[in-house]
Amino acid sequence: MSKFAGMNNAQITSSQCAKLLFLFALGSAVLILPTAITAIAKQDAWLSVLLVGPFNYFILIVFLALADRFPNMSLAQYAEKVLGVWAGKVLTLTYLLLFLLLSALVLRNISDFIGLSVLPRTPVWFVDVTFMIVVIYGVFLGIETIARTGEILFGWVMFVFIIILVSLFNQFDFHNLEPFLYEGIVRPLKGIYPVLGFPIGEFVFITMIFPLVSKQDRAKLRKSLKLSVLLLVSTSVLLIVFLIGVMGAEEVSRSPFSVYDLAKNINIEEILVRVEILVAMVWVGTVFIKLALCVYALTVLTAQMLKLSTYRPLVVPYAFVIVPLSILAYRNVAHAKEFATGVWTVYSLFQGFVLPLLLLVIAAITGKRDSSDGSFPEVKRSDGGHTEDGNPTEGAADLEGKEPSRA
Amino acid sequence: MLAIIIMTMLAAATATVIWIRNGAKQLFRERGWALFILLTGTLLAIGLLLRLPVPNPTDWIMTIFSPVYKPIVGWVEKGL
Repeated sequence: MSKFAGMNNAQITSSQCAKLLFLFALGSAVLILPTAITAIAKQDAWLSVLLVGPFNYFILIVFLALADRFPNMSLAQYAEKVLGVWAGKVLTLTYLLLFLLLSALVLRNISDFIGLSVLPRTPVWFVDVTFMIVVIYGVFLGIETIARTGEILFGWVMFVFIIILVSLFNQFDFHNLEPFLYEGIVRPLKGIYPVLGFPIGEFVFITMIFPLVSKQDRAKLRKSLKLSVLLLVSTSVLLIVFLIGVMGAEEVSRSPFSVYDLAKNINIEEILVRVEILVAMVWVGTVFIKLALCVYALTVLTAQMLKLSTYRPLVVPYAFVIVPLSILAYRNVAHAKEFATGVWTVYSLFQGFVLPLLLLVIAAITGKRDSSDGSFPEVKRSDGGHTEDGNPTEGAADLEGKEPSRA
Repeated sequence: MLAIIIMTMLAAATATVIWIRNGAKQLFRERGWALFILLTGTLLAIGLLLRLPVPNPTDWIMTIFSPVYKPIVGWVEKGL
């Protein structure tokens, strides 16, 4: 681990940022979303994912345009610059609710999956608390640690993805994809609706990450994000084509965790069987990244809104809110379905697209730009000149003969 | 009852750590806000354990966005 890990103001590369976006989007969506899309678009569900592809990048263009105007600031900071202090704080407060709720819902997803598939007799709160402890540790160590974990996980995700596709090729039936556009283009268009909110509307987390991309690497950011979106769309389309081709649209639309059920079908001469646990492992990993990014965004937004000098003291207290909220969020399956596939799209698009677009328009009209540094100040401690992050301050570094901390 | 006692003890232990660690680093405002969030979470957890009618944020969002999402969902689900 880097000696800078755990710093408030750690930096990541554009490639790490793109991988985080990919894992975040795949996060909880890959296992749950195919069911929602297939229930609407049936055998043309893959077309819905293809149609929504350009919107993935379009929403990022809005965030990139905001990042061009305010290159070293996060959403909470430039909201105050554009709208004024108090209106900016109110806007940030709405994002706090979004990330708090999103964290709780992602945690609920993983505990539901583990409860239904792997550990049916384990209490929900135990799964929640165990998972949250790991997330707290990750967020506490900082974005650099999360990004490095993402790089490792990215390789694993691609490996498992290829294994699934190759192993299921012999069971693929093209007739399951027919009839193509039987009811016209309307059904695939309707199938876009759940994807827009989950995960596209949630991409707003990336406004917290952009200022942390190292300055030397920012020129490559657009290209990396384009590649990430391209990979995301092609992965999703292939996955849905295989889901429908192997299981059929009806079975996919009934399965709560369709990709997990898809992996259960893998059986090569009774030698390669029960590989669904690989899917479960990778999914737990991607959900970890998604939850860690949500909690990171939540704590950093809070710290910046309240003008605190570090976000780290807030990480553990927020876990105390997220765990009960995840248990409270859904009353029953019907409530969960109505909220996740109906309300969430409108809500997350409002927060994740409409409000940032409004900010961009207002900033463009008023001509506001600011390249001042929005990073957290380095807090000097009284015990020998160390920063709050445990790294030596410049003066102390000279005394100890070490490299000064960067920020 | 045991769950409430364990929950309260865990919250108290966390609060003590927050108080001492942030006090040593002279992060007094951070400590105040951290304790406030911790208190909110603890009250929420105790409310759930006591089966009190705790307000659910998903209901607030459903109510706020119902004029927008209901027609869209109605259109999407039409003919399914």
